[in-house]
Amino acid sequence: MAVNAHPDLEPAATRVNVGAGPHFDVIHLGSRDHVALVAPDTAFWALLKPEEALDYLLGRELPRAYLAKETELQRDLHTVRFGLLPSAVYFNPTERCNLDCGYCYLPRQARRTGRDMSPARVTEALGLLADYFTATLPEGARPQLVFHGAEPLLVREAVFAGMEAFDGRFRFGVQTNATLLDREALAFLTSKGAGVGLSLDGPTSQVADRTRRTWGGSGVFPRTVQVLEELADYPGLNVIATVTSANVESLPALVDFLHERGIGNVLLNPVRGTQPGGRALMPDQEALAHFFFAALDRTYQLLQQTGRKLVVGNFANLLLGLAAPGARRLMCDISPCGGGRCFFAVGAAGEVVPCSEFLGKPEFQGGNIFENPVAEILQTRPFREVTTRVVEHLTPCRRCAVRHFCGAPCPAEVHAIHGALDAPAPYCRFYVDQARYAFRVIAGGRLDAFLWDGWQQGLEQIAVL
Amino acid sequence: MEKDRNIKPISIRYACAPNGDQVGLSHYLMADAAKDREAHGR
Repeated sequence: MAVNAHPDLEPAATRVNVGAGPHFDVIHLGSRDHVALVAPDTAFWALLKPEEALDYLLGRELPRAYLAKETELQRDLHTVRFGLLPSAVYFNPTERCNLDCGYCYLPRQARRTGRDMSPARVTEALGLLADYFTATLPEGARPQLVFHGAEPLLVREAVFAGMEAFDGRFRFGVQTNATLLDREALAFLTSKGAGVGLSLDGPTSQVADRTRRTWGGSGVFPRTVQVLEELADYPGLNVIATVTSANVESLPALVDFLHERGIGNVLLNPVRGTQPGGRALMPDQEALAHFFFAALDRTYQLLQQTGRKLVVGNFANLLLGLAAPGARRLMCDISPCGGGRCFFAVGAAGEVVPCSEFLGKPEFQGGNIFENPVAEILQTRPFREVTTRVVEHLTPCRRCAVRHFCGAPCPAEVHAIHGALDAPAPYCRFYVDQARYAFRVIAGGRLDAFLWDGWQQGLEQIAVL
Repeated sequence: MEKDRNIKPISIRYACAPNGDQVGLSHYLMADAAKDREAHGR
């Protein structure tokens, strides 16, 4: 007669959720077809039929298979969270802007009458940055440098002189409202292979101009669209829509608008509440989830109908966070966030902060690029406060199953709202729903439809199950 | 497994060695670096 082993004699490590055993949380995905089992500490997950989930959870195969790969999974996640070097800079050559967008992360007075950096100072600063990256990055690496704002083309001479002087040393980009992007400027930027980021908040003047207007109150939609259409085939084009209460309902229509024009890549970034103007425009989280997911659904329908993708970059990044954490590109939805550790920002007076979101917060300045070595600035208290902000220290994030697919962003926004960094994301519910939506995408076999072509290139599979 | 099941679980995980190319910026997604290089021969 066969004798079954007494359950208490099984190896302790295979007993889930107790002692040294692996820990799995169960997540309802809003679908009858699958639930997720997630090992939150390593961001491992498996999607299972609900009626089989308990068998897997309490059986032997999953815990054993997971334990065999746990160290590899942990190491991979640890690298992306703590092992990357700074390799990108937001460079704000002026505080001024010719638009008065209500949600900007720069204070209104600075945008109206703020400081400019001279061409000589821009070139000097780029030299200091180039020296820093040469000393820290592997040979041949080309760090990114994005002229950001405010409106960087208000000091176009300085920007273009800097790009000319350091051609080949950086991968350059310019984030612009397009109003000053004339034919000559476009020819220069495209000849340099520079990234061009255009801000567009809606598919019509009526929607887009609610938040993006000149100081005199006029909209700039026609000009932005004109440049967008001129650059549609340019591989360095990127479109950013800032999602607010004023345009959230138009997200699906914006997808149609961009797809019709052949745009392949857009960021649909929920507005940050870093400044009072942005806080006043933060969308309701349920509405945000509803229309954001409707926009994602629409990209999928359009792909089926036309064979052409419009990748929503911030969602694609979350999918990468699930399938290949080390290959993610954006660093908002991971903790610590990328501010101060993957990238940092330089302001118009040379002040250095972890991210542009902190430019209006003097207490987060780590130093000045003209006065302090970059390496020292990155080790100052304001930087360390941001680079040590991890979900494990936050409530309720420390017990959230999707904590490494969310990252509790954004520290600047959290600080503005709570006066401290140790609070969860203001969009917490939205991020949870977004993770569940992402799991449903994967469960439905639609992962490739939402990611850039060739996303698996250079990746190495970690097979657990 | 202890018993037969209809469908295998879905579990996808890839690792990526950091090379400095994959890191983007939160407000600005640099166009795919490989595509950029291809288009401009860099």
